[in-house]
Amino acid sequence: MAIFKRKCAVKPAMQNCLRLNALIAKNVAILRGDTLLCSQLNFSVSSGQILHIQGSNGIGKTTLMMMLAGLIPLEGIYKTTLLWGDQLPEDWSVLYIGHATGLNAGLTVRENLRFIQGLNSDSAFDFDSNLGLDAALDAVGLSGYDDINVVQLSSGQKRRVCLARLWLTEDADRLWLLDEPFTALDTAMITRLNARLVQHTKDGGRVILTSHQPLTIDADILNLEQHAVQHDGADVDLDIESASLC
Amino acid sequence: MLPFISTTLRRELLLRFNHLSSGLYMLVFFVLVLLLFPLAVGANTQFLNQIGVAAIWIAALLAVLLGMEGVFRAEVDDGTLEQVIVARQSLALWALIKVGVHWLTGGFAIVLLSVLSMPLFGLHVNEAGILALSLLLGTPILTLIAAIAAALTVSLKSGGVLMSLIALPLQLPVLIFATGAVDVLRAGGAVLPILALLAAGLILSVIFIPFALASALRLSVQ
Repeated sequence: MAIFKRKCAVKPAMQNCLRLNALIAKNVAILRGDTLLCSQLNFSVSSGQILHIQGSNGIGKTTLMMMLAGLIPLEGIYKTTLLWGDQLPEDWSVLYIGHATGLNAGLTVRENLRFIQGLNSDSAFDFDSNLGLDAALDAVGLSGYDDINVVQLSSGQKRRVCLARLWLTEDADRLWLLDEPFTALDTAMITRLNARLVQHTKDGGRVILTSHQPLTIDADILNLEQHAVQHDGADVDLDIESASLC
Repeated sequence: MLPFISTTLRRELLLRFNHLSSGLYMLVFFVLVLLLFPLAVGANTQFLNQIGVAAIWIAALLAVLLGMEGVFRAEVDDGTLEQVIVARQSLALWALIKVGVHWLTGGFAIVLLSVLSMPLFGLHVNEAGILALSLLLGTPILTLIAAIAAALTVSLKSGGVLMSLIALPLQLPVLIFATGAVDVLRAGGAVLPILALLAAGLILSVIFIPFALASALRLSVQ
C-alpha cells in the first residue's frame, strides 16, 4: 500500500491533517449494491494536491466519487473514516462533475450555467448579470454560444459547457471531484483543462479526478486495482486492520 | 436559501413556458374525456347533470396523473438532481417548487376549464363555483400524490402503469370528499366543512409530501 509519499503514525497524522484541513479517507470500502468492490482504501488530499484515481472499468471509481460527493451515504460502510477537517462528506463544499452533464436540453447554455451557479450561491445574485460567464465560455472555447440551446450542442461541446463551471468558481476551498473530465474533449481543450487544474492547485485547491489516460500534470496516483476484492465479497470482514494514513 | 428558491423557480418557469405543448396535452386530454360523457350518454340531460361532478373529477384525476408522468425524469437522467444534492440544497424545497410550477400550468388550468361543466353537464353557476373551488383545493393534493408515484418510478423505463397503481388508491379519499361537496350543496347542506377538510388535506400535503419526494428522489440517485 505504498501510495503515499509521507507516512507517519496515525494519531499525529490525523492531527496534522486536521490542521491543514486535508481530506482524509481511512479504511474506505466501496460497495455497489451488496457487492464489495474495493476495501481498505486509504488516501488523503491536502491543499494544492491532485489525486488521480485509476482502475479498470467497474472497479468502483464512480462509486467512490459519488461517496466523496455525498451522493451515496456512508451508512452501512464499516469502520470508515471520511473526513475533511471534522466534517462528513454530506457537509463538504464540493464541485462535482460526473458522467451526467447536469445540463437541461431545453434551456440555453446561459440559463443552465446560471441555475448551477444559483444552486451553489449563498448570497443573492442577479440572474441576468454576466458574473464571468462570458470569460468562462471563452476559456472553454465556446464564446458566443451563451444563447444556444444545449440540445443543439455536440457531446464534446456539452462537456465543455459543463467544465466551464471550473472557470466560474474562484473558491479554492471547494473540493473538485471530476469523474472522467477528459471524456469527449479534443486535444486543445485537454490542454486548457490541464492548465486550469494546475492553476487551481497553485491557488491552494484540492482536486480528485478519475481518468484512464495518464495525466501530463503532477498528480498523486491511487490505483484501485491494488485494493480490488478478488472474490464475491459475501463474507468479507472489513475490520481487518486500520492502516496508516497521510 | 433565497437565491436557490429564485433560481429554481426561474428555471422551472422557463422550462414550462418554453415547452407549453407538454402542458397542453394534458389539458386537451381533460377536455376530450369530458366531451366523451355527453356523447356516450346521449340526450338524457338529467342523468348528465347527476354524473357531471364525478365525470369532471375523474377526468381531472386522470389528466393530473398523465401530466405528472416523467416529471422528474429529465432531472434524474441529465444529472441536475445530483447537482442539487451536491450543492447541499433542500431537495424537498426543490421538488415542491417543481411540482408547484407544474400545478400552475396543469391543475390550475383544469380549475379554470371546469366552467365547461355548465354547458356540457348543465350545472348551475353556484354548483360550478363550488366544483371549481373544490378543484382548486383538491388538484394540488392530487398533483403532489402523483408526484410521489412519479418520483418512486423515475428510474423505471416504463413506469406509467405502475405509477397509476401507486397513485390512484392514495388519491381516492380526495375524490370521495371532493365529489361530495356539490351533492351536499344540492341537498341544502353546509359545504364549508367539506371544503375545510380539503383545505386541511392540502396544507398537510404541502408540508409533508415534499419530504417524501426528497427521499424517493435521493434513492434514485444511488
